[in-house]
This record gives sequence, structure tokens and C-alpha cells, in this order.
Amino acid sequence: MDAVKDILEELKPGVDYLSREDLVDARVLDSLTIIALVAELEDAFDITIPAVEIVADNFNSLRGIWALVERLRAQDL
Amino acid sequence: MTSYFSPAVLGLFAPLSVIAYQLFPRRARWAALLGASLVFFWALSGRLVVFVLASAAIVWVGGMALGALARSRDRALAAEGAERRRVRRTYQRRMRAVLAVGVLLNVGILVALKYLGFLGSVAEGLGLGLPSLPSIGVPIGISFYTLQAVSYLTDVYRGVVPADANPARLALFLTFFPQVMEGPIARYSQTAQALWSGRPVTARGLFLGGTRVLWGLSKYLLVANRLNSFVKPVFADPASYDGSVIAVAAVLYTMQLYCDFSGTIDFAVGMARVFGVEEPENFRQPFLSRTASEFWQRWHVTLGSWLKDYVFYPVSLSRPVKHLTGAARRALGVRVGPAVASGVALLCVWVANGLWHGAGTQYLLFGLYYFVIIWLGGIVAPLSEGALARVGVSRDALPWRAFQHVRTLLVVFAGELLFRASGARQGISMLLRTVTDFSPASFVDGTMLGVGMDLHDFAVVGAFAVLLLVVGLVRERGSSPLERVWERGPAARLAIVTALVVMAVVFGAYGVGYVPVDPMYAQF
Amino acid sequence: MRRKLAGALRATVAVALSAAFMLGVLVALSHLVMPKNNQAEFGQIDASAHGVAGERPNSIDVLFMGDSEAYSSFSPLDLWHARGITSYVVATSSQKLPYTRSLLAYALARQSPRVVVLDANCLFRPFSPGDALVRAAQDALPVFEYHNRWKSLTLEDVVGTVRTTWSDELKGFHLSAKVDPADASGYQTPTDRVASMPALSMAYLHDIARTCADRGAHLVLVSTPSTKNWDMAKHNRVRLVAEELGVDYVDLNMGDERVDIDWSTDTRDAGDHLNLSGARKVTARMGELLSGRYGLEGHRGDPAFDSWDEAYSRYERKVSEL
Repeated sequence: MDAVKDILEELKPGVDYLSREDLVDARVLDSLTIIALVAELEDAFDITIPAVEIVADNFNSLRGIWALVERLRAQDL
Repeated sequence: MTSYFSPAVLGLFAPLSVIAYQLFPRRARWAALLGASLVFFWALSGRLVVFVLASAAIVWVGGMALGALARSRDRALAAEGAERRRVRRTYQRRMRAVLAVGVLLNVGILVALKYLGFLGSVAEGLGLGLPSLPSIGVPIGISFYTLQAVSYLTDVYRGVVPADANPARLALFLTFFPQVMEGPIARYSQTAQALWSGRPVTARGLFLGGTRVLWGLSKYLLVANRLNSFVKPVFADPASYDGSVIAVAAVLYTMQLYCDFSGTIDFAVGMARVFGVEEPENFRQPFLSRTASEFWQRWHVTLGSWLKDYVFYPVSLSRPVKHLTGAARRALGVRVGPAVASGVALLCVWVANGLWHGAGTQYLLFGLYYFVIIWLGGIVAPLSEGALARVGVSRDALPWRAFQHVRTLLVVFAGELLFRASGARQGISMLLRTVTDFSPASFVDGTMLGVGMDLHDFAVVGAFAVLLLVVGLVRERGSSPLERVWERGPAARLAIVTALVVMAVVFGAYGVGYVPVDPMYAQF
Repeated sequence: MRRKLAGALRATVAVALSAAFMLGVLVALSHLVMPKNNQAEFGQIDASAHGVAGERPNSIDVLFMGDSEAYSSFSPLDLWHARGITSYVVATSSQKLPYTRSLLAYALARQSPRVVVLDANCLFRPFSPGDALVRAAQDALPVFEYHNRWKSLTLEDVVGTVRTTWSDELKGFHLSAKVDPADASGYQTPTDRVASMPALSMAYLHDIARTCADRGAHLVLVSTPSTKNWDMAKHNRVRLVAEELGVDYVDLNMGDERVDIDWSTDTRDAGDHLNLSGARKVTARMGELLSGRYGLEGHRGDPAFDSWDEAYSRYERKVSEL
């Protein structure tokens, strides 16, 4: 989870990623940032994130993003 | 083209459909809504109603097929010793084929009815003679309900919503009369079940919905109709006016479009609320935006979010574009790289946005205009923020914010000028003339008052603009003015209803001397 | 149960009181914006038609109603000069039947005509239920019609009463001596076709006929000569309609009652409307009918109607100056 947090900090610094639950709804992560984030996550965790998974629920919180990563990693096995 | 704000709809059709809805037993209220919606569609488009029913049938069948495939996929995945990867891939291929057929059929009808003439003229321009097809007309709201149909099917494919076995519910989702003309473009998950549930009409719903409709009516009557007498002549014959008048016309047109379109949305949201349905909002104080990109997250929100979910992300996450993003990231860094690579997806979004509005070069130009601004904005933003940080200016410092607001407004005004002009060439020449032919004297020598609006008219528009700003700032703080009035009790409610009625009736620009403006987005 | 009933009762009372309050506000606003005299300078819409209210009460024998065909074809002062019959043209351009009905009620509030002549062209002007609703709202609450007068309100609008002292000097007739010849080659081509008239129009016409009957006035449908606006199909329809209503129908375009219009000199806009010369021919024929068929005798020599002689001399002067 820390790896995800580091990626987020690099893309968009100055946000308290541990506590926020509205990253998409409050437009902290705009669509450009999400695309960049997806590219970083795919690289870092060797997964493929399809368009289906780009929903607010998956990106609103650090925990949600981590859950997505875990799920996709499990699926690929 | 009739507007929702016509006496027949406001005075007869809408009240009668509410009464009929309430008189029906709860379990059958969907039938009253669907019946009213089909009557409305028929009244505006006659036999073309078959096309919306065809769309409903297509997504019904497509959704059922996708649902069945998803179920058998899940069964196969659950089986012992299944090769999960292979199963997934097989089913993904099948489901993708079903989705493609459903989407192509829907989009195909839209293109055939709305764009063939344009494509034909383009082909002719290229020297290709195409056989001309008989024109059968364009059903009302086709650009809106087609997007709803496509989003439903895609959402079923994505597993976001379950397939709906009920064709009548899908037909109601597509044809619901308050939103069929100009949106909002709702998702299945937002309205379909609520439309079906037949919630009773309540006093609170009537008040909140009714006042919302009155507020929209005021926008339409006070501003949109009134500004027509300035905007129409200038855009009809820009050569007769100097650059200052054209600049003012661009500002006024932006305001007119906002009041017409958001007023119509107020009708849709308000009427839906009376029926106990919550429509998605389509405007969130767009003129308070700091960037063009933010403007499009606040203006015609449901179109922007539709394009984001069904064009931007799929294109961005397609294999070739992902490779491009990866390469750009390595070459330009984690922030600028993806911004540059997003150009591909953004171009798709903005060409779609432009052409969605209509088959015309000005719409294409309008889309490309925003593509360039938003794409470059995305690339420059990290750089300019870095520069700001270096000189020690906060992103939220007042001068920087003011600069951003003014810049965004100018971008928007210029964009709407291009949008309203008859053709791309005229738009560009008008835009140039606001600079080359700008004469400050026109503001004081009576030129502005000679176009078609007198001082009283400007005063009404100005006062209403202030009111809009105040209401916008209140809503920006997350508070709903109408709900606050409701909480305050009967006297406050009566006062606000009376004030809205008096405002619309007395200061509305209707009757002798005014030509009602056609609902602008209904033709898109 | 009783609690529920009390709640419903309270809600009903609240809604009724609110509606009454709203209505009161709109009535007050209506008074405020109403033109304080029936004159264009006071903001009166369609002043020449509303001038009928400025005539001495119960002094008008004949009302001519309809659209621009009517105010171009009937000249009350010529009718006065020829036969001493008093008349007024209550016509407005593009008049639709809901407005005809409202204007008839407006005129009948001050006048008791013996004959109401309705130009049949306006029977075919389509209107929607919405149009009818708007007209009804405007009649009930004039703020819907005169709201734009907020721009020119004065103290008098607040304290003054609504008067109707003004009358049109040509009694509603629109004078034009312009000549623009018409191509009358396809005029009145025979056909068995019957023009259609919507049920809603029929309902309004029924109501107009009933109102005339109640007030003891003969309703006469008349089609004035026009190459552009009149044809056999409309004639066929109006004949059926007149039969159904039990009223008279006079077609000045054809048959025994045809007026001998010279289409090279008697129209001001190529057959759309008549000019003065055409109107005088139509008015002469109407005079014969009004005296002959309806027994109107006229008031010539009655000192109470001296003002009509004066009006006629002003009219003559005006015509000679054209």
C-alpha cells in the first residue's frame, strides 16, 4: 500500500492520501492523473487495468486503489 | 419546435401527467409515465417514435444476451479446475461482440438519421457522388437517448448494472418526457429503478420540483428570450456590426445558451422530482471555473462524464495508447508524459463532443478548439505550477485565481461565439473582428442600444445575472436554497413561489414584441 | 382517522389560501399594468379594434370582426354615408378565434349590435390548445398580456382607473389607396374539395354563435374578396359550417352576392387585401344586405349621431388628400 501512496505523492503531492475517501468525487484525481496513475500501477505491479475498473469506487481512497491492485493480481494468477 | 416552456406543456400536459400519475395505483404508475412520455414523443416527432422504441428493443435484447453470457462465464469460472484465463478471454470476446453489435446499431441509427446529409455533402466536396437517401427527419432527443442506450449496454457489459429483463422499463428510461428533449443524459443506475417505482407525489416534491421548474422558466423567459433580440440579428449579419457589438453578442449568447439550456434542465430535474425521481445535475456553476477543463466538468456535466467514461478511458486504456503513454512517460516524466499522450484520447473526446452537437464545420471547430486548449492546459499545468512555486506564489492566491477566472471566461465566450456562428469561416472572422474592429465608443454612443435591446432590457438581464451569481455562490457552498426555504415553513414557501411567479410573469420577455427562442439543445 | 382528516383539511385550506393570495397578487398586478385608456399611447394593444369601447354605449348597429381581411374590406364611414347605419371594425391582424371570442365579449360589454359580421378567413387560422389557454389567461389576468408595460409605468398607473374614452377616427377601418394588381388567373377555380377546420375552432365558433344569439344579434359569416386567401375549398367548408350553426353565409367572391372586384385596381398587395376602392365596393354590397335582409334602417337625421357626419367629412378630406 505504501508503494501506491508513493506513486500518488509523486503524481499529485500535498494530499493526505491516508484519510481521504473522496479522491475522485472531490476531483483530487482528475482523469489525466488517473491515466498516469494507471500507467504507474500497471508498471509497478505487473497488472493490466481495463477500462471497466475505472469507476469512482476503485479510486476514491488509497484503500480502494490497493484493493483493486490486489484483486487484479489475484485474478491474473 | 416547441419548448417545455410553452403554455401547452406547462399549463396542460405537465399538470395532467402529474395528476394521471398520482391517480394510477402505485404498481401501474410506470405505465402512466411511459404513456405520457410516448404521447409527448409522438406530439413532437410523430411516427419517428418507432426509432426510440427500436433503440429500447436493441438494448433490451443486447442486455439480456450480455447477462446470459456473464452468468455462464461465472459458472464456468466456478467449475473445478477451470482454466480461468482462457475462460475469461473466451467470454470477453463473445460479450465484446454483443456489445459492439448493440452499440453499432444504436449509433448507426443516430448517424443515419442525423449525419448522412453532412457526410453526403463532405463526400460531394471530395468529388464522390453518393446516392441521396430520402430524408425521414430526426426524432426528438435522439442524440440524448442514444447516449443513454449505449451507456446502459456498456454498463451491463462492464458488470456495473445487471441486465434488465423488462423492456418497458428500458423504454421508460430512454423516453422519460421531462428529459427526452435536452437531457440530462442519465445512467441506468441513476433513474431507471426510480422511474419504475411509482413513488407517490408529495407536498415536498411538488414544492421543490415546482419551484425548480419556475426557476428554469424565469431563466428562459427573463434572459434567454430577451437576449434573442440582441444575439439573433448580430449573428445573422455580423458584417453590419462592429467588433464591440460582436464581443458583447458573444458574451450575451453565452448567457443566453446557459439560461436556455440550464433552464430546460431545471424543468427536467424539477418535473422528475415531482415524480420522485432524482436526475443527475447537468450544471454546477460553470462560470466559477478556473480552467477550461474545469468548465467542462461543470457545464453539460452529463455529456462530459459520458464522454469520459465511454470514450476517454476506453481509448486511454486501449493497448496502443497505453504503449504510447508508457513511451511518453519514459521520455518526458511521470506528469508531463501522460499529459502529452492523453492527446489521442482527448482528440477522440472533443471530436465526438463537437460532432455530437450537430453535423456542421462550426461544431467540429468548436470541439477542436477545446481539444487544443485542454490538451495544452494539461501539459502546461505541472510546469506553470512549478513556476508559481518557484516565485513563491500560492496556487490559491487571489491575483492568480482572478487571472484564471478571467482567462477561462474569455476562452468560454470565444468558444461559444465559434459555436453559434454559421460555419467555421464566419466564426473565425467574427472572432478576429472582436479584436481588430473593437471600438470603445460603441458602448457610450448608443450603438449597443440600437441592436434590439433597450436599457430596461439590459437592466433586467444584469439584475438576473447578479441573482444567478448569488444563487450560484450559495449552491457552490453545497447548500440548496430551495430546500432551505422548504424547511422554513408555509409562509416562506408561499413567498418564494409568489416571487418566482411574479418575476416570470411580469419581467419575462414574452408576448407582443418578442419571438420565443427555440430550445437550442433540442436541435443537437 | 380523525387526525388524518384534520391534516387533509388543514392542507386543503392552506393550498386554497395560498392560491387566493397568489391570485390576489396577480389581480393587483393586472390592474397596475392595464393601459389606463384604450389608446395606443397608453399602451393599448390593438387599439383600433378596442376603440369600439370608446363609442357611445349601444350606438353601434353592426360589428365587423375578423383578421386583416376585415379591416381592409369594411369601411364603416362609407356605410354610414350611404345608409346611416353605424358600424365598427373589431379586427386585428392574423386574428385567431379565441381572440375573436374575447374581442366580441369586450365589444358586447358596451354595445348591442343587431348584426355581427365575421370574416370567414379567420376560421381557418390554426391555433393550439396552448394558444387558447394563453388567451383565456390573458382575459382573466391582463398582466399576462400587458406585463411588458413595467417598462413605462407611471404614477397614474398605480392610482388611476381604467377608462375607455378613445375611438378610432375611421371606426377601425385601415385606409390604403395603394394599388398592386393581382394575378387572378387561378381565382375561384371550381373544386369539390372541402377545406378542413379543426374541432377546436369549431367549438370556439359555436360559442361565438351562441353569444350572438343570446344577445339578439344575427351572426353572419362573410368571405371577403381575396385571390390569395380565399378559394372554393374554404367556401365549401364555410357553407357546411353555416348550415350546422344555422347562421347566414355570404360569399362575396362568387355567385349572386359576388362583388365586382377589378383585380388590376382594387387590391393593395397583389390580391392579398383590398384597397380603398375595393373596400368601397364591398361596403356598398354589405349595405344592401344589411338594409335588405336584416332590415337595418339607420340613424340619418338623428341629432344623437351628428358626430358620425363630422367623422365622415374628416374621412372624405383624408381620402381626397391621399
